[in-house]
Amino acid sequence: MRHYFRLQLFLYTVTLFAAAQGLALFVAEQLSSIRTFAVTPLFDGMGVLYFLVFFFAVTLFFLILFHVYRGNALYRMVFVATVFVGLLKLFELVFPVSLSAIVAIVFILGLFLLPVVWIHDLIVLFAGAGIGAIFGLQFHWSFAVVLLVILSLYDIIAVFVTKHMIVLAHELIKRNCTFAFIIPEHIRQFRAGLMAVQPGSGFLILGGGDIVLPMFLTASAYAERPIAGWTAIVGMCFGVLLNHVWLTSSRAPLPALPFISMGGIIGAMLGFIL
Amino acid sequence: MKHKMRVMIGTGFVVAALTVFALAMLSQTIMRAFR
Repeated sequence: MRHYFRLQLFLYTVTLFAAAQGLALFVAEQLSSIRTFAVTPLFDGMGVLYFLVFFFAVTLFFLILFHVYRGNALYRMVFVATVFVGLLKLFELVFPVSLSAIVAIVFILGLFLLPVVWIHDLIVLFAGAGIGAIFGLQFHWSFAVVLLVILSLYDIIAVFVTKHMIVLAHELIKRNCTFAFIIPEHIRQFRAGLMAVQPGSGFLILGGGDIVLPMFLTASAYAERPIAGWTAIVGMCFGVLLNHVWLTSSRAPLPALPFISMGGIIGAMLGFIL
Repeated sequence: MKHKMRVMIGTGFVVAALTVFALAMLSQTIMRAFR
């Protein structure tokens, strides 16, 4: 059976991805003009190590939790808490903390009242940009590169060897609390309810890690040299294209991070050289 | 009818939050440019 490149699906994916990365750069720009980020040793070399330990601990925690707890409420709470923190950090750029919290709550209430794909994607875009830019500014860009290389290798192992990433994604999709972009093939499906999004339902899922982790590189490269942040995004968009070609020919869950990271790293390097 | 109300209120909440954020961002950018 032949599979064809799906232009519409690719355009929606790349638009959402680029918008998230662009917003992260905007947040990074605003943040660096408000306060100076002191890159302490904790957040440099050791920071990468701490982040990796934290990252793997959270993954392990969820994998164990799926065996112990079968309900939805806890996962939903974790999702809401993550989104709330991300939105809070983003809105804090322009509002005092209390007002920022109110606007974030109003935004999340919108998703509860109308749980549809476009609101979910919008919330992930905004919250992801908030989290990604703040973390990204804590690292030097070279450490962000190291982190992306390590996590890309981990992504390949987690999808193809241990397959636990697929279990993690499916469990969270089934519970409608996945921190990821849900991308339909047709524009009208952005209005579809989140309940319709199930594993194998035809929606493309771009994981939260594949959106937020590349922001570490875009934000840190931007802090070093603004053009490098932008060229990293262009490179990542090529990575999304390669992922899409791969996806349409295999139709199986794939690790998105390796190509996105590769594109981002090459793009950032070009930005530094030019 | 009830569903329509939910759609309207849900959309209203999201659009309101986005508008307030966009306006605040815009005014902050303008103020910084004039400073």
